[in-house]
Amino acid sequence: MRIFSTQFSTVAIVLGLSLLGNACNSSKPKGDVNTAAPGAADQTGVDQGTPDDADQVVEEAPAEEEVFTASIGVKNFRQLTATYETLTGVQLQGDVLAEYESQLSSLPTLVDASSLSSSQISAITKLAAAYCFALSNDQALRTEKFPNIDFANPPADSTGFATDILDTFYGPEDMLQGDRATDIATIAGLVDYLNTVDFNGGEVTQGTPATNIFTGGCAAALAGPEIVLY
Amino acid sequence: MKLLTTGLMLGLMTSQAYARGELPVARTVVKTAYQRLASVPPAAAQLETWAQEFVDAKDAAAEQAVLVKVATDAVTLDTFYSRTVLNFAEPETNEGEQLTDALNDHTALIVGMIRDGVDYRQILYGDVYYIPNPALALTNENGDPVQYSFDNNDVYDALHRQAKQGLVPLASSLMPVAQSTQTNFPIQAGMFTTRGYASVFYNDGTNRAPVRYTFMHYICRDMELLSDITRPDIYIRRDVDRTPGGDGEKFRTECAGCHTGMDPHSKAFSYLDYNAEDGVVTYTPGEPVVKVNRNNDTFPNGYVVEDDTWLNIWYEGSNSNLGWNPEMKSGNGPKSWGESIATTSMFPECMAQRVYETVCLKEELDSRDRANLRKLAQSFEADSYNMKNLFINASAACAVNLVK
Repeated sequence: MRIFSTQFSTVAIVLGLSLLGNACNSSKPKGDVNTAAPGAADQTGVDQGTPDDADQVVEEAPAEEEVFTASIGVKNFRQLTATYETLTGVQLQGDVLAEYESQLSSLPTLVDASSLSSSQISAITKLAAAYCFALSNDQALRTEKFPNIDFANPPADSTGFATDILDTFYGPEDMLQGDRATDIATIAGLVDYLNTVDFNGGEVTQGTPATNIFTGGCAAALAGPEIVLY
Repeated sequence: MKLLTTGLMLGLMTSQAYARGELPVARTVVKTAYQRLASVPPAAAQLETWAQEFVDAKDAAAEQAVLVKVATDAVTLDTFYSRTVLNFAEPETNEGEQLTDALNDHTALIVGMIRDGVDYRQILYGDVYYIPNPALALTNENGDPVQYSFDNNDVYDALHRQAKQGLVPLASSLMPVAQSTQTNFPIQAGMFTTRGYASVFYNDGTNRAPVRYTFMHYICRDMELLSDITRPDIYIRRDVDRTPGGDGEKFRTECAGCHTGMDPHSKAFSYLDYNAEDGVVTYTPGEPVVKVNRNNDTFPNGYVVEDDTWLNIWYEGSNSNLGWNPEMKSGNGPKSWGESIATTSMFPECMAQRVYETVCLKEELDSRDRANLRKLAQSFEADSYNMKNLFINASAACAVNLVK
């Protein structure tokens, strides 16, 4: 499992960053969403008021610059495992548990999105790859989650393959997600690439196992901001 | 990476607007209300149903009702307790305020009390306790059966490990019991008489730590905010130098501000200690533990601790406006001291603030947040201090703030 993670994590990390870049640069309308990082918008500080405040409540209208104040945060180590378990159906056991324990010291603990480091993204992607690999090798689970994907053969339609993965994991589009068509194109590009590469031998060959191709796309999706940020 | 995340925020903020009633907006709001509690995304079909209900809501009250329904559904999941509530609880269980990825009787008490919606003030004084249900027949990593003991953490470690692996749920595996029937400890005072608490806050030190950290987590004020140099210094112990670095002025203007109030408060813990070598919590009524009177030659004329009578001299002075309970200006031991803190008017405000920070991911608060906090604190008090409902109301309050 560790060997698999090492082989695929680099690609998945690159793809994860691509998805993050898509979220950053998306021209998708985002609406009146208030998305400042925790503590970024207002410098007035925590209310140090007294109990007497309750008797002197004056409903202050938020100033215009205070509109963008609701926060987006990073899921921490335990929230990531819960999310991956919910999305993949895989439990934190066996090889997945071993990978989790291996990555635990590098997984996020702080909610502040501006504290997210490249090493944390790498650890997140390796953890995601472990869940995805377990899912791809569990026939019952993968059939339940992805009934339209043929795990026996390399995908003939990379766009359809990527769409299936993203729609399943990301759900209906909302305002905080990157443009879905761009994300699909990114994952489809990964699928096309993995279709031609034999990572085990380090040589370009045909016929990477379908389960491995799925794992690569799945890990990139699960390590993306649509899942990691909330 | 910081550029990327900053770019993400800016990218999200500067694009053109959706109309408020559109489905993508509604999905964002209800998904946030759910995920901030459940720590996991909702199922797609459920999300669509709730989003449509939010779109169809006629006014702000109807929108709020939808969000409360969503949040109420989220707290039925074990992940609410095993993730979100532990995120809330763990920082107060260690001096570094870190997430610990561990479980003990202190964190179990918080999880259980929130699960059962009991009067949360009892966290500081009640005869309440939670143990893993013995029927689970939990085992350690070697497969050997483990049972509850007040002298070790084995059964909580076993529950935590198995819950993490999805073998058992965390919250519903906890069983409420009375401390008085379970721990065989002479006194029962909420978290103050849990083994997990003792192992951190009575271990070493001078037993002042319980006061500081209780004020931090249940009054939401650390010592620098409480410092008041106008109060008499007669209760400051002998281990505090009156001329630090030869500067008596420094003692009067800095040290005394905190110690005048903290030292008479901390007398409540004079009989409690933790033996880290044996892992045992001790209580010695009538005999203050040695460490509360150590370093007695630093200022030999300082206060000598002879019993566990605590005194709140911050009832007057700059801290007089913290809403102290007028009937609890002094007492004996941690139970009455904890009750005196739990019955301040700052307790509900602090709980509202901490839950809001956990759910809404905010530390810096603006005027809208402060208005939310006042309402949440008032409803928490009116709701018999039910923390689960406070989480629900906080999530609904901040999710709707995602849109103008």
